[in-house]
Amino acid sequence: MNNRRSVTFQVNGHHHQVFVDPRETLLQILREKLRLTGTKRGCDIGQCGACTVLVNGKPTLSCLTLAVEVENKQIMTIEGLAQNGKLDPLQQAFIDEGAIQCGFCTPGMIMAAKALLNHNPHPVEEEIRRGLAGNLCRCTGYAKIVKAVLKL
Amino acid sequence: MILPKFDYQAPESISEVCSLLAQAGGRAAIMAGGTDLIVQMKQQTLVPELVVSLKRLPELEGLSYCQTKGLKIGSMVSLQKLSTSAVVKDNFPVLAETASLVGAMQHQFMGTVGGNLCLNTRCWYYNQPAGWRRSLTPCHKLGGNTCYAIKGAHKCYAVYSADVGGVFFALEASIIVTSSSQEHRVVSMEEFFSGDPVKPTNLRKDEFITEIIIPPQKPGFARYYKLRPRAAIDFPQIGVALVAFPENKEYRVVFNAVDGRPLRFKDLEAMLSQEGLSESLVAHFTTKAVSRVKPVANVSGLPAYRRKMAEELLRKAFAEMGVVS
Repeated sequence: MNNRRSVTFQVNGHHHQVFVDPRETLLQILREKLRLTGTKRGCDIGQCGACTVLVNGKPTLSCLTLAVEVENKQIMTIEGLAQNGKLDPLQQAFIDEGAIQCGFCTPGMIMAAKALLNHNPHPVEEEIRRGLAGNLCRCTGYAKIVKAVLKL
Repeated sequence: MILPKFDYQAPESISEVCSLLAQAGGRAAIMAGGTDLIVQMKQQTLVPELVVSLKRLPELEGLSYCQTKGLKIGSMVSLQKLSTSAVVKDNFPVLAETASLVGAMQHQFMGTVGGNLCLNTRCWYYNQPAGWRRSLTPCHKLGGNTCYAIKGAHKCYAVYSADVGGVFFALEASIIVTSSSQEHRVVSMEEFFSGDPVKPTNLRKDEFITEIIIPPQKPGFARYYKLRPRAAIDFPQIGVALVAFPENKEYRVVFNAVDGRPLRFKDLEAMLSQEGLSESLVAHFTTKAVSRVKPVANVSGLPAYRRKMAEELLRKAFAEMGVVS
């Protein structure tokens, strides 16, 4: 049974058309077909947040999103943040505050923070901690990550 | 983890959903937000042949309040919308607060009210990848006749862990269900839960939830407390809801995440409404109610601890209401 179907969507402003099997997740398509490996595969069952991307502006776990479901949607990944070679202020804040150690959680962390800031431009520390609660980091102890987001 | 093979449909009308379910004859799974279903499919505890997505049905995303009918919530309303909507915050703040306690931000944006209600029951020995379970014979929930949580048990003890579902139970919500014959029926929360963790709801295979209605009466006091290992993301180890209408001397207490369904003891609640509420009466009620709460070692937290916390959280709720100090 060949179930493949065409799905069109935008990733970071670029138009894409791919043929996907219903079994394929958005995470697999981003990493394996579009080679956008900034989005990380962590737990693969929606517990760690490393695969977070924005789908129509909403923070979404790409490991639990079927690729067939993103038809006509606008997706933003970590690769789409920098403009004309200049890092997004959020990315720069992570660097300036030393909020990155191994870096594996960072793309998901930044995309979740981006979504948080879109909905609440001036969050207090408690709101940041709550907003980023779905993103696990095993290195930093979160203090510097929270500090980086607070800086904006 | 690679998903098992399945076919996918995203109908654009309720009647199309109905005909797909009728054709599939029980081999289909309804997908709302997917945060529970996709995980279970990855772990192969559920392997549907057809996944029917409800994401292209904007008519299931309504959210409105009217004084005569109450709060109407479409089944595809996201938990994030429920937790931030002014209409919910004004009329049933307990519901907005509870929705904000489910999972983390990403789950609240993806997860839906209907999906939370239909959350499958959970157990350490069930919610595991296929490879982990391979060496074990299937448990009751997987169609076998073994229980790994309680050795020798003849039934399943998986727990119902949906926070919003527990609060709906305390608010005596009604559920509007549509079937493959396109008939609507109204199901009370009491009828909705089967009590059997293997198949926690009484929904038929060809039925799905379109709307949840909460009757208009505003509770005088309503709280839901959730105990979990990490306050930020986990499923509940225990949930306690208290909904009180002091003017009518009506008190409802629901214990969540300790059984295959939310637990409510109406015979004990009657005790609270007969006499004036006093500290000793509340203490008596709490002791009696908690003695019927019997958590088992199938989710995180020792059963004795979870039971003690059921007592504590209930006491905290009554204290916040101002009945006990």
